[in-house]
Amino acid sequence: MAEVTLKGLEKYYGDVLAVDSIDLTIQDKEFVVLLGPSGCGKTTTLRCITGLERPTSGEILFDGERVDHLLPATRNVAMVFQFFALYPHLKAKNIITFPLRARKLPKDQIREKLEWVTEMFKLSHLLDRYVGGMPPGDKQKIALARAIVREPNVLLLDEPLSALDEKYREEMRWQLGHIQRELKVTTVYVTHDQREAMSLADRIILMRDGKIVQEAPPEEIYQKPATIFSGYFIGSPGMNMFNVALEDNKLMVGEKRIPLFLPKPQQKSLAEAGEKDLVIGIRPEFLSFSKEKPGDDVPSLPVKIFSTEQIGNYKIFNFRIDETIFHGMVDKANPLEGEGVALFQMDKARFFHRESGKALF
Amino acid sequence: MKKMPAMLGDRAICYFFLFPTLVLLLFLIGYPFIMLIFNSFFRYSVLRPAIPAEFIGLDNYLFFLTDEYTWARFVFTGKFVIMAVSIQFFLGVFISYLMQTKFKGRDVVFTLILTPMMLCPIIVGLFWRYLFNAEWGLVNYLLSLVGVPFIDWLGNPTYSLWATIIADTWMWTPFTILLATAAFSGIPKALYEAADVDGASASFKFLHITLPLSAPVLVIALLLRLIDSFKQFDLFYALTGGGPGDATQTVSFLLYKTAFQYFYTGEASALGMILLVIIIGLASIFIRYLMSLTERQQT
Repeated sequence: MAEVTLKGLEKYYGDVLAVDSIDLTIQDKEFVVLLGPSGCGKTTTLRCITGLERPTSGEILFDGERVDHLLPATRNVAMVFQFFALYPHLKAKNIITFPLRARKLPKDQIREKLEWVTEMFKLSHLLDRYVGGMPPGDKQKIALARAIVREPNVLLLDEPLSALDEKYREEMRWQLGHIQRELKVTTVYVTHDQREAMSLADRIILMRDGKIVQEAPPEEIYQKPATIFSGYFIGSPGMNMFNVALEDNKLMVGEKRIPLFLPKPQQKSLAEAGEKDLVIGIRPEFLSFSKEKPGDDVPSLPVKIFSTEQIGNYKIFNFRIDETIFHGMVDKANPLEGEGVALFQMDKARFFHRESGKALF
Repeated sequence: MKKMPAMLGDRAICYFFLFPTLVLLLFLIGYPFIMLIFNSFFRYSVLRPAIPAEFIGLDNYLFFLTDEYTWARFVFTGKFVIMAVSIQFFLGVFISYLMQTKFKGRDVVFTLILTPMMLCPIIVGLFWRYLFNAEWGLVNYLLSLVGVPFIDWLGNPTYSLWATIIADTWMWTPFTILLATAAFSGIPKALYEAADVDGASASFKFLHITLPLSAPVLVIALLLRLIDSFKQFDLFYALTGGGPGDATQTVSFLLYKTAFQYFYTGEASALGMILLVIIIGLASIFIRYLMSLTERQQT
């Protein structure tokens, strides 16, 4: 078990900057998810921690000791690869014990540990088979068993569920979280799937263009995105973002400058921030729809719904202001069609600086 | 659109296109092969067409299988094949393993390494004949520089065996290198990364990943080299002429002499059949092994 620290981690591939001086501390036993779109540097960061890539500059420390000069083998880390990287010529049991045999552990210890992980992952029916014909789910279990069997200081997972189908992915996600809590191993998990990140992480590290955009627990990153990108990337559908201009304590929305009522508390905060050009972000669940126009002191905009989708118990309704598509999410069966007004819960909205994209409050 | 007549289904078209090749094959391989079997039961020489072929049953086979001289040729051939092929194989695998690491000018070195394989065996034989010349050959000169006394490479049975092995190795190690390199580079990089993380040393990785995963291709390389060296003829013809005496006469050399110097066509046919059976036997062992390798990796 170990605490992992990255100090000014930087990685160039030729002229391309993949990781741009990242500082990060991962607590002992913490489950951290590196989340971001492809090419954001999350996998490179993971590979640097593993030791498969050598950082161009910066330091990597395990429990305060520098490891960036060490080979992966001597860091006692385990990694689960995106496409499993299981040895096709070996039976499952020999794949799982590979790291133990490579380290020349005594035979009886190897047997004990094999039994232990076999029990944990319910693998006994797979042990004597080759992985060639196995479904991805079984391969995934074997890959995890191989990683866990040596009781690593740090467990690193590179998009481990992306090769599984939807149904199985949920089950494995649940199992993964369960095992991590049971083993209490420091875990770094890379994914581009915000739902995986939201459900697994103690803390999400959101990355973009080689930099950390925001690091926070899932709840916080969902409710208080630090940037426009965070709000947009997390949540499904993502946060609705729209340009507004502040004029005499009133918000003017879009090109047509439709006024949107601003409740007192937000008026005050905005006055303190002193910004005129803003972006407002609001989650779909804080939008609702009504056929009747409410009073002037309720934030609302006249809209026309162009489509709806039923997702489980919820209904998503879509409308447009200028070119921006808005998604609202309601669970009530009130009529959702045609013209009406969209109601905004402004106390749940996030206000961003338009130029920098950073959140004001 | 008009429907195709039922007669011209996919299968029929397939046979239609295969037909010319099949006819060619039949005449170029089938006919000679049948004649080979046929002739092997007769006392017959193509040089004396007037003397009618006399049916003698298995006598030709019995002759070779009981003849001590022929047996000695088989022993020599076996020695040559085992030594030459194992040296080439290990050397080839070793060199191609070294070539896996990137270094400057690797492509040039790789191309240079492969050139001997592309030369004509007769030329290679003649070329080594001069190098091994006891009086003024380059090999003895170089050896004399490090204090090794004069060696009669082509005049002494033991040394001439080594001379042929060295020449054959020089020419055919590149073949193993080529196939081993192809096999090695076909192994997914992620497996090595997984092994790195798993804490495997270089030798552990080589033994437990590189070798087993490249085994199917390596087995094919070994098989091809075995068959090829078993029927090696032209190199010996140019390098030693089978000498000194009969010391470096391989079975194929004996076959050549029986067929085209003595013109004992019947006997030569029988010897040819014996060689064929041995080679097919060898090949089937390897092919069975190969099948078991590929099968288990798919199930």
